[in-house]
Amino acid sequence: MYGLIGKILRVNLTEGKITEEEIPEELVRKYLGGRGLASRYLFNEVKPGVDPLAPENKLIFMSGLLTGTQYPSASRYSVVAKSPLTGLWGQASSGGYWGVDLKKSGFDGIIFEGISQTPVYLVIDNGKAELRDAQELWGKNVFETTEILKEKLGKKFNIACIGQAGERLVKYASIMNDKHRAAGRCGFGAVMGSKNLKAIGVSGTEEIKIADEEGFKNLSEKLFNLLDESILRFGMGEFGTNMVLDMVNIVGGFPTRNWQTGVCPFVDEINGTALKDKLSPSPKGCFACPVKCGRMSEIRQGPYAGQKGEGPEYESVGTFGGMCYVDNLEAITYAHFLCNDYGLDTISCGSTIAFTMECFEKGILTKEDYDGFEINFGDAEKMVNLVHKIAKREGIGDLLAEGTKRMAEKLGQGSERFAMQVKGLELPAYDSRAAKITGLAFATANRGGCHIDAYVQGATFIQVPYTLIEDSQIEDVHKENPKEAKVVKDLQDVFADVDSLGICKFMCLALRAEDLSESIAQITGLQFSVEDLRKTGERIYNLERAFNIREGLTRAHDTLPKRLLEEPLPEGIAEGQVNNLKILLDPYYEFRSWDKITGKPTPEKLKELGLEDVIEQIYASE
Amino acid sequence: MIKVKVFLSLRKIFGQKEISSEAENIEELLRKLVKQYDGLEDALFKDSKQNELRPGIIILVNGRHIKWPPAISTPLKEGDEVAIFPYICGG
Ligand code: SF4
Repeated sequence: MYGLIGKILRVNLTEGKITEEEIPEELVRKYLGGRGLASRYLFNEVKPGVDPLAPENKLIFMSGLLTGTQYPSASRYSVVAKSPLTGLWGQASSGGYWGVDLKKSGFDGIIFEGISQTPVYLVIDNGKAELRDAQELWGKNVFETTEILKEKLGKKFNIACIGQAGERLVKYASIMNDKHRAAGRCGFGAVMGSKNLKAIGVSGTEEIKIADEEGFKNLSEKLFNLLDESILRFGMGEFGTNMVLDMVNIVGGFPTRNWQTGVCPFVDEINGTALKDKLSPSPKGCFACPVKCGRMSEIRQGPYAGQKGEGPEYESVGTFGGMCYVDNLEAITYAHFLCNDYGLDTISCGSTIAFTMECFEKGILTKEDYDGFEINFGDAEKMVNLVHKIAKREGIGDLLAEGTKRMAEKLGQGSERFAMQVKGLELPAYDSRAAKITGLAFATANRGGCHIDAYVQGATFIQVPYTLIEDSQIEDVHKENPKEAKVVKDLQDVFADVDSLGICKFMCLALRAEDLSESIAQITGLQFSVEDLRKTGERIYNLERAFNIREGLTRAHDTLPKRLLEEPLPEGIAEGQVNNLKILLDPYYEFRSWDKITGKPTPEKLKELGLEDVIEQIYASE
Repeated sequence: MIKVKVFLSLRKIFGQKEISSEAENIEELLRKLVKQYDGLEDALFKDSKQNELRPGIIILVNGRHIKWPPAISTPLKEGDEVAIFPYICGG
């Protein structure tokens, strides 16, 4: 097969049985690889109503169609499963080198099913796979697990694993690879933990076949050079993802004190410039990446001095800094390092701590509830402490380990107003009241409160016009313009392609749709136009939506926390703004051909996308 | 007085985060700043004709993006805050 290796591994952990399967060509044409292909397997194999932590849930790792090639940033793999945080379709993507090494090991993906009786890890060495005992690794965190396995298996092996948070089924535990890279969102570390699967080590030399080698090489080199000289590289390479912070704050949308305001007074202590000055990071990139947004940092002062790691990213600074109102960059950085080592999603973790701070502020939680524990906004030391408690489910940490949605359900007293999540997934550090269609993107994202499902902040907060879709122009970010609902739809669709190809979304601020469709045609040898690209993204997006519909999702779930809908931003340029979601939701459903009452994709739309089999699944009970 | 805030690599050129200036519109402000700060012309403009900004340069007036070139003549008034970014992406 061209592009993909053409094989997946199926690992039944209950029986300890490993089998190989061929990937039908037809599936590649329709779903490419990565997210799209994995979602098709999930839709076929996980029946509605399954508990995400039960043996019946499947945990699917899948490299992208371009992963491992020289196409710029072709490093990524996706993890797809039913999410324990949302109870819906979930996906997380990660870069580094692991996805490349998975493909080189001889398989595009792995489907884990069942639950092992005792802790195990999987080793794939050049086409040969084996489950091994992981009892001595259980209880260890990500960095140590990775080091032990590299020592044991050899340096050429690349490791993806969980830390203590995944073992203890923290609902937003991540899966980590290359030590510091996270398949962070949706709580797949907990799914891996529930299966008693500690790690996956991969190594191999399998070659990727390319139908039009010369054309693909030329295109990849051209794009690599373009990106190498682009503003993306100069900006990200020097300041990392955190450089966006000042901009988000100036437009009044930097969530501060758990989204009580969108303007933070101490940004100069925590922004991209502060990070560069205080942590003197050195750039680090994923496989085949010209941009290199990652950074290896060292904390140089204070109680955490000497701690080293990768990051922190903008989202970690946004949640532990702005949302928790902590102005101490060293503490923010250490909390981020701890999340990587325990295997926790920094967005959900920081956001859950900020929610807890507000619960104490409002007297919903009190000192008496958890043995005298109390935390206020801005308390850096206790914030760091809470990360340990969450990962170990110690004391109040056991409550926080469930995420904001479940916490609010338990605590009541109006706390759901400011539990900043959508469908159970905590929101990222962009206040959608300051750029309205961002709210539509959050409300409708298939995996819940996510900023990179549509990556619409490129068009709103940053206002870089995308060349990936026909029109991404936003007239006035403070106005809900029904026409602009199409921007969200188009970006959601094309980014479903991007995740299926296994490339990085940051590149997409500079790439054109043709750069993707041509690469697909060249690598597979199939005819593949921009129109095919758009349809493929839409097909994948609708399939995921159908998974969610089958789980009981309706239009009522496509919403935002009450704080965003009803509480106007109190200051800054976006003062007085709230999200009037309804103005955007109806036209969005129209652009999507989804029923405005039920939220279901219409049978005609599903037919048009070649998803005929899905029709009976989501219309069966009618 | 117009408050001008600069970010990221532009701070090296200005030697500070924020300065005050006077100008009737954005075009006048930028031309004035370019004369005052070494290296700014090269950082902001494609060439010495100063007709075209480098790709990625983002300018906001009072927290709202202005588009270049149509808004080059965006008027400024006393108390306005102008923010200039050399490039932005990420998040
Ligand atoms: S831009 Fe950053 S996340 Fe994306 S591939 Fe490059 S280093 Fe990895």
